[in-house]
Amino acid sequence: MIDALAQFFLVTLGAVFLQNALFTQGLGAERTLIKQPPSQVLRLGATLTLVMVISSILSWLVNRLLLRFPLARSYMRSILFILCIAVTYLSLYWLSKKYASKLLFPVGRELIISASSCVVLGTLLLAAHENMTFFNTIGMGIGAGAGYTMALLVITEGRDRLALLNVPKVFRGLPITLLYLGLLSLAICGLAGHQLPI
Amino acid sequence: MKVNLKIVRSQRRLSNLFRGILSDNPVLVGGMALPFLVVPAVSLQNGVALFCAMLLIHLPTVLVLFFLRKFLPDWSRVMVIPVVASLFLIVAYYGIQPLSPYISDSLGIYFSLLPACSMIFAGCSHMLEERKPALGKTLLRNLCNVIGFGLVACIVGGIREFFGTGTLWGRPMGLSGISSFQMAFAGFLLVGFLAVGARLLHRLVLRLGGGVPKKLLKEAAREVPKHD
Repeated sequence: MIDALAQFFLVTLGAVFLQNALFTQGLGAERTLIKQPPSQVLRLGATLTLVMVISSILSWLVNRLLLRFPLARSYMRSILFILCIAVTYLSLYWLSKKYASKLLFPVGRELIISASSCVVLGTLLLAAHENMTFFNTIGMGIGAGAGYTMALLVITEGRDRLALLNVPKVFRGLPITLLYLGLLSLAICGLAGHQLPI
Repeated sequence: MKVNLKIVRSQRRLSNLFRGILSDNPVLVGGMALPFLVVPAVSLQNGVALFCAMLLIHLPTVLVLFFLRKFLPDWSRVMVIPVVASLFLIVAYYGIQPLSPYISDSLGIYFSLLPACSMIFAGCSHMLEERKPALGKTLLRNLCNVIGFGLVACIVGGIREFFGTGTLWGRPMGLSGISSFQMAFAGFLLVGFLAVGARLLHRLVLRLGGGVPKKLLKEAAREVPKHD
């Protein structure tokens, strides 16, 4: 029991920092190019984490079924995982429409962005590739959502500070954001203990 | 100088047909499909495989959704696009096998991630939002976007393979590589500098031609219609 709990926290923390979806896998990098206030980032992060956790549960069950059919290739896994995300999206869409007035914040737009983001599918595929247990898969989902939200907040703050600097015209916008992402990715690489092989 | 706008507009219409390859490149200008260039594009072979797979998934998806567009409610689009795209993953899987038997392993989870690519979403959403989309123009616009993506993927893959492992398409080039080029941060930095290069190239083209050839401007000036 304690081992399982320790594994769960290890996987969650690993997904937040060492296997961060944005900095180490490049997933969801397009979202960093859109200017959005921190409150919107937090709403998106919360919705994305919820979609990720529910999809993780469904995808784990699907993966268990797929293991019984060795001839099923990796593309079958992708199709079925996308269907899991579709079911999650439709359920949450219907629930949000029915209980819209009682929700803490409107989730319509954030739900669409979360369901169509490659962060969710990428995390599910990574968890399946590593043959994780049920609780580890959920931990991976929570950690990936939290890590992506944290990364987006860091990038948002960084972009606001870069906008105040005298950046050359050709570097403004997309190029400087990508360079900033690259340097943060290098920092995370160092945090993970990788040494630059030269 | 008075310019006959009809001639200028027809020239611009022609250049707009091939937008997405160099000008308005979906990766270097739009910032789309970045995950596929940052991690799996570490060799020229992977770059070509990504281009072939994207071509075999993106265009059939647009074609199918063009015919299904009248039956799709707005709220369902966000999930129908990746579901339809994932059906063509099987075609893409067999399409890239001739490159190398290990190519799908080399691409890893990013091959299975192609149906969720932002470029496919953007292309299909743009078509679905048009009131009366034309099939030919839609396919050409998306084909140009895929070619633009493929161009960048091959350049990024080639540079990372050449400087990372000292080989090109698996053939040694007599250079001892710096394997840091194969890591994710190098992908971000390389695409960032390529975006700068694309901007400089665009500015150079505008400065040299001004967007409209001088010969065309001279011909237009000679054909100014007379108003009574």
